[in-house]
Amino acid sequence: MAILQGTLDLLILRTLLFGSHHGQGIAHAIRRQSEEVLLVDHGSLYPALQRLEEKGWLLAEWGTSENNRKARFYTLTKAGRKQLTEETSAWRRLVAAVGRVLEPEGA
Amino acid sequence: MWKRRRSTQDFSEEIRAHLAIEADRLRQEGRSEEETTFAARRAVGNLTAMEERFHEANHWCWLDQLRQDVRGCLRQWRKRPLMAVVALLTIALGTGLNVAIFRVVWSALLKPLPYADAAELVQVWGVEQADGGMSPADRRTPNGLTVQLWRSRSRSFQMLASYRPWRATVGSGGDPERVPAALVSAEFLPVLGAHAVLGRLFATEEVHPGTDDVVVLSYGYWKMRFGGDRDLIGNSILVDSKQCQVIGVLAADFRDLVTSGIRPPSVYLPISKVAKGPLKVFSGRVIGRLGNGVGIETARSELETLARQADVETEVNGKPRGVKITRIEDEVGYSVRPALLAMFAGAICLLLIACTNVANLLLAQAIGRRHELAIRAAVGAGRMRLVRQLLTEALVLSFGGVLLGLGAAWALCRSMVALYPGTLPRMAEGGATGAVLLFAVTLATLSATFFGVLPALLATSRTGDASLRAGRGGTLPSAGRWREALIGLQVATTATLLIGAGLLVKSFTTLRSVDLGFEPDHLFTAQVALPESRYSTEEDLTRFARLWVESLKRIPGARSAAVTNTLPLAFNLLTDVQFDVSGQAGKHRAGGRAVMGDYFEALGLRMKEGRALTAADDGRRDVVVVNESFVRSYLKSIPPLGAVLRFGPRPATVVGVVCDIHTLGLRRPALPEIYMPCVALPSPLVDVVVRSAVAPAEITAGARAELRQLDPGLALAQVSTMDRIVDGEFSQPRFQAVLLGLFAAVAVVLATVGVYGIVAQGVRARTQEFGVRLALGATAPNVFWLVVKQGLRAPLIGLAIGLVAALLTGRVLQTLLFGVTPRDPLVFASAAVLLAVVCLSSCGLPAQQACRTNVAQALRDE
Repeated sequence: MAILQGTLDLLILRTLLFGSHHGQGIAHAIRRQSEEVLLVDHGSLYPALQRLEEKGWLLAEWGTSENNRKARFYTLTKAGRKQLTEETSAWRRLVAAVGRVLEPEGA
Repeated sequence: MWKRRRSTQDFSEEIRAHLAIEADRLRQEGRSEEETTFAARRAVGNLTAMEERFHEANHWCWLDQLRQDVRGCLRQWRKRPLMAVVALLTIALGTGLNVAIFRVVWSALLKPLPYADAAELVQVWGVEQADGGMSPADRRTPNGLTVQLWRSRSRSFQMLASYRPWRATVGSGGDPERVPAALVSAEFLPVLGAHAVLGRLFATEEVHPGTDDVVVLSYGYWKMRFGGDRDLIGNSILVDSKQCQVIGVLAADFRDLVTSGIRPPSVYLPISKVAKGPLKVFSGRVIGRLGNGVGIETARSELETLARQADVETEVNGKPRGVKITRIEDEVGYSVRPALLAMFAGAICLLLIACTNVANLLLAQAIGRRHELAIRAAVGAGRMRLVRQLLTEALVLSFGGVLLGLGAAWALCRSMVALYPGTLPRMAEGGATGAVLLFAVTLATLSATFFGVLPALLATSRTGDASLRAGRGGTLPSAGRWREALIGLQVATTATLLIGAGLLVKSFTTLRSVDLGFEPDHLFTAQVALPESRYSTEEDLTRFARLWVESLKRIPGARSAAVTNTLPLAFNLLTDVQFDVSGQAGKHRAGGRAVMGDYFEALGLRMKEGRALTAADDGRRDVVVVNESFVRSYLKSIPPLGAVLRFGPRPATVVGVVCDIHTLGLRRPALPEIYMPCVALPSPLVDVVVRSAVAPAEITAGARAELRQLDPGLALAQVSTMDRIVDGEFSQPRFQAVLLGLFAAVAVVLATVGVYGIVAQGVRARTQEFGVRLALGATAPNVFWLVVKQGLRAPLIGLAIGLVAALLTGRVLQTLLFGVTPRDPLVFASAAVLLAVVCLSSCGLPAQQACRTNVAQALRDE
């Protein structure tokens, strides 16, 4: 399933909550944690990372992966953490609202 | 603050790292080496596209692409130079004209006035009806007494000021000259925010009879006539034969756009010089500066209430008069507005028509390039990228055209101002460049949008595969619809323009056919104003008139000479004369024309009945001649000849009836007039008319010499010929008719080209179809009418729309028309027939080609 427009940022931020990751790791984590439902289009992953970095929510550094590969690691900044909290609650409200529309109480 | 941007290389490295890690993972899952690389690649997707997206998001690559597109566009032009030239010239023509006219419109109508808080400045008019007639003819100068009351009691205004346009004779001895002047109240110059660069402006007590021998000079006149002499202040100069003290010189940057939009006054004099009656009331036009935040309607109703009070207090009976207030901003350029707006509208129509042709050209070109575009799309160009490319081409075209047009516009504008009969206000002020350039850029952008967007969208629409397969020359069904719409729009606009021009032309010819009532050739005219100080009594005035006529007759080449208070077409009201008809009840008023000398003979007036007044009648007070309108109004029931009119106690017999002449201009109906010998109606304004055997211009020197001999303190002003005065009546309508006629002619040519181009394109694209039709037994006439019928549909619908549009919008021309209604059936019918014929003939040629389709050839190409 393709990722809903606008939710990719949220998923990236969430994935980075417990530690830094490189791009492939983020994509993989999203796929795994969604139990193979959400497939990240790499064409949008990197522009998204770039965007988040420019907004100051992520910090990027070149480092070395577990396989001893050179990779660019992304870490959540303080602003990013705050953004995540906001976006998460916004998302919850949205889901709840959509849910109410789809299955009205008493119907 | 510039954040250091990541390089594309850095990004590529990251992607490569991603691939490697992905491959590692797959390898761990136990895939083969070849498989892992491929799978990793597949998972990542189009690597180049990704890099491109990164690049585009991070760089000003639109600039690169713009450069690419412009280069590509120029390449296209080189391939089809004729098309490029035609398109460029079409746009240059359309925009150049618009820019030129906009420059005039901006300067004359739109440019902010050079006054602080100009929105507060208003003009106050009296109107005949309380409900406020809107037409200019209904606007009156407010009554002087009422204005006095307004000035003392009104609370809506910071200041109210009176003024009158005037002509003053300055100097004496050898070189008195008549200069444009203004009579003003003390508030007038301050209302407009004028300052004196030397000396001061009028004090309130100076605008009062007896103390008003003071004068303020304009900066330009002070420089020109007095060489900028600073010692002039406090000294006296001779104005209208009176010693007047120069109290001030206005600042150089002061512009008087109120007293006259054309030639600004050289001298300002107190308006009390025309004060009349025991109360010393002066009347004049009124301007004012509204109080802070006071609306026009508030001020208007206040003045109206005060005017009613004044009527009650002064016991004036009659219809209640209304008040109308207009903004000075709307007054400047008031007289030229309808003509300018009509021209502007015409030019915009023309541009629309020109743009339609360019749109058609580009559409044809874009459709021809669908194959190329499809290939581009197939190798990875996004649709937006293609649309942008085509739009860039349109923009380059339109900006190129506008640039060309701009060059032409400056020249066009200058010649338009020069050719414009009369003067366009504020043209010399400059300061139009910014606005004009902004307008030009807007025009270029709008035009490009108009003729660029449609081809771009149509040519890149998602039928890519089909056009790849179809190869060159493929058609596009939806394009046909759009083309028909474009052609319809073009013909509709042409029709509207053609009808507008037709109305003006017919109006002009109607005006031309108005009977003047006199013979305008070989007539020398001029004016002399007699100063009240030296010509105070009726005897003085009459004596001067008699001597003056005798001197004029002596000029070599003069055949007959006469003087009068107002010549025909002089736009001066005649002297109001009150009379009653003997044997009938009631007093009437009519225009009184005083004549001395052989006035009737000199002007070549035609007598309806009876005899003319001649030099032999000069001393008589008991004979008059009336005009036809007079007979129609007052002498219907009795034979006019021999009727006795009573002017107060003095009776006079009507000895002749003369044909009507149009004193107030050919557009206005003739009014009842009474011609009487000068002694019966002496006037300080003396109009001169001399019928000459030689060219009237040759009379001028003689007339000046004779006048100097008669009274060296007088100046011969407004020297002209009657031919020129009469021509002045036609010049405006002629200019408008010729200009709009030209626009319409160009529009018809453009529309012809447009319709022809579209139909011809259609025929070319359908060659095979016609081949099949002819092969299957269709006759040539069948095919001919098929093409004509389909080709004519859009133009005819457009024509119908155009006629309706002209019906609806014709009223904007109303003020320019004379003797023609905006819905003149003849004009509408002629325009419709002309356009129908034009469209038919431009369909006919391609249709004939369609008939001549070579069947074998067409089928072989199939």
